[in-house]
Amino acid sequence: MTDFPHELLVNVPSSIFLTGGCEVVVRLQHKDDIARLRAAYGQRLHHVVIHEKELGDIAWLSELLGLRVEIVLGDGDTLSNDAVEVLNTMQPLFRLDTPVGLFRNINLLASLGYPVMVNAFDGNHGMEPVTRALSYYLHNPLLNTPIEPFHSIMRHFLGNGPDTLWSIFGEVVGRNAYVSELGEISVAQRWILTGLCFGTLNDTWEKLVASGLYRRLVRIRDGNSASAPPCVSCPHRDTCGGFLRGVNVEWPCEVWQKIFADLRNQGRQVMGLTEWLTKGGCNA
Amino acid sequence: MPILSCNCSCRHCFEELDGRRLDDTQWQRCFEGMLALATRSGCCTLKVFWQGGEILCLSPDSVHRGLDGAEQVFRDSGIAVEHYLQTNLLLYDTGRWKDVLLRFQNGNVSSSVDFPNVYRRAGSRSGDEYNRYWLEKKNIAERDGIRVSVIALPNSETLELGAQEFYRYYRDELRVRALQVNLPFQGNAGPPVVLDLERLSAFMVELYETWLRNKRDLYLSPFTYFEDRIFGAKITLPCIWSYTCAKGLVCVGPDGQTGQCDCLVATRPEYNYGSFLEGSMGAVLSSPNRNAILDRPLRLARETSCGECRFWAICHGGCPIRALAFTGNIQEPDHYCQVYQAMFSAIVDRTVTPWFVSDTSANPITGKQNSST
Repeated sequence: MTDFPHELLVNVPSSIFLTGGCEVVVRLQHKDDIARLRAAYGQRLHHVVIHEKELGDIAWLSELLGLRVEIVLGDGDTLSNDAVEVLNTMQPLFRLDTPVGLFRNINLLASLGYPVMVNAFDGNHGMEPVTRALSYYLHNPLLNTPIEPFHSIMRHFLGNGPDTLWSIFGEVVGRNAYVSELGEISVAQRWILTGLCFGTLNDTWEKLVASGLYRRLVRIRDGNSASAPPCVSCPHRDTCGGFLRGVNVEWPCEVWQKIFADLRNQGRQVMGLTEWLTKGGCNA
Repeated sequence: MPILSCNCSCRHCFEELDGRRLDDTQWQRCFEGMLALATRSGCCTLKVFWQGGEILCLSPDSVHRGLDGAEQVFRDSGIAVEHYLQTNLLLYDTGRWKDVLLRFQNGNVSSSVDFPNVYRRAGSRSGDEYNRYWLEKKNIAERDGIRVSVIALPNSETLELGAQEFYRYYRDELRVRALQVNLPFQGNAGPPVVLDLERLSAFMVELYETWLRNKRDLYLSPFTYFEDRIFGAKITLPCIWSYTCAKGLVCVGPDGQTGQCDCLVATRPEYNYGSFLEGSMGAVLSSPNRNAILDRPLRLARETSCGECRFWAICHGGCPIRALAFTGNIQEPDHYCQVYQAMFSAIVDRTVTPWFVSDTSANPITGKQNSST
């Protein structure tokens, strides 16, 4: 089995146990033995990922107390008051993968104080769900929890956040890896879904590092290559870094370009305000 | 709510004033029940709001015994107890009540006065006479070292007079320092209090603007809460806008019946949670009626326009009791949604916008063009 180095954070299904020193993100299945998982990974367990349907099993959910939990939410129908009570004893992060009901879910989850990661950018649902989500992040003065990836992008524009979408979405080669249920290895799931892998768990880490995909991603990471020709002249390349068209050069990133432009514009205004306040504000 | 007797006969009262009162020997048992409930809920500070009926219809000795009973029961519990009092104040006199009232939050008590007084009545006094009598009692209480805050319910004549006159009355004539404006719902006697929502919205916005123009020289709820929340203070929202009032509130009636609040326990027993004195605390906490209120915000967020509202995080669908009173369904949004939205919008526009002072640029929070600084 591949011996992942210590600096790696590897996303792995619960059916596969990774030996070695790397940190792990474990994708749980309902009724997985949580005590056994804790014992097996100990401090190496970075966080666990569950799906919305598992929120219905309150007893099992309660066993996750003390772990960081990422919850992949669908339409949000399974969320109950009992689940909220349990989640309030944890520090959950909700990942919203579907644009259906996106705004409603953000509104509810943020009001409960849960950080939210919007990951619903498949390009097939038009701009509306995402631009509403962005507007909520930018304009709702009641918001007191981060809405990602907007918050990290804004921090990037303000000079104190992650450098590109590669970091924000946890696809940094040499830091992140993803293991499929079949043992295929890549930097994240989306690459495996299109058949782009470093290799499998039967390969040594050295062999994986020598793979074509790994070397290509290293070149992008190090700024020596944009992944797609259109990106070379893109005004948002400093933020995106070729991430959006990494897998598919034809991927429609217009929604994202709008997001970048809006956030950059708002970031400028925030910086202007900060500068004005630094100079004494109204009293200057 | 240890007593359901009152010296007044207000037309907009929502209580079923059938004369029931807690047996004077039951104080200890009552607070033991509260201790069990507080312990089970992981509560650190229990706030006990004494209201009726009218608490001053009890004897001073009885209230003393109640307060002593609470002290005794909670002494070694590790749970702090704070007592609050809601009274119409009309039965106050120094000899009987001064020492009692000073035991409530160091002499801070809450009372109720409307302006103009259309509905509040005591004996044969007219509305104006009622208010004058109330002011006499307030003055006596304040000379005794008691501070009186006021809850006001606007009525149709209040809307006629306008917010400036309303504000002036409470600040200058009644000289109150803390005012809470509540929105009314149907009482048990007389015709239902149904206000025109457009006019009420305009009134509340005007009241907020009046407050700003007067440099916030009153503690004016709910506006104080909203501003604190917008500016990020860690506050507890008023119960009607909390995520769910069922999480932190329970009302105990004179015979130990529990329910969501004083607006329900006596008048709508079908919504009660069970007996405090007879059943187990577990049964109270797991009552289907309580669960229905606990689940309400999730239902509203999923199934109604509340889920799409930008003020959801400060409103959560509003008060379930007001929903019940106006629609017959506790799972509906609050009847006053339109008024709340107008209030919230006014606060956001007037508190957030001025902080972003560039004369020409758009406000980065509201996205609107700044009109003034």
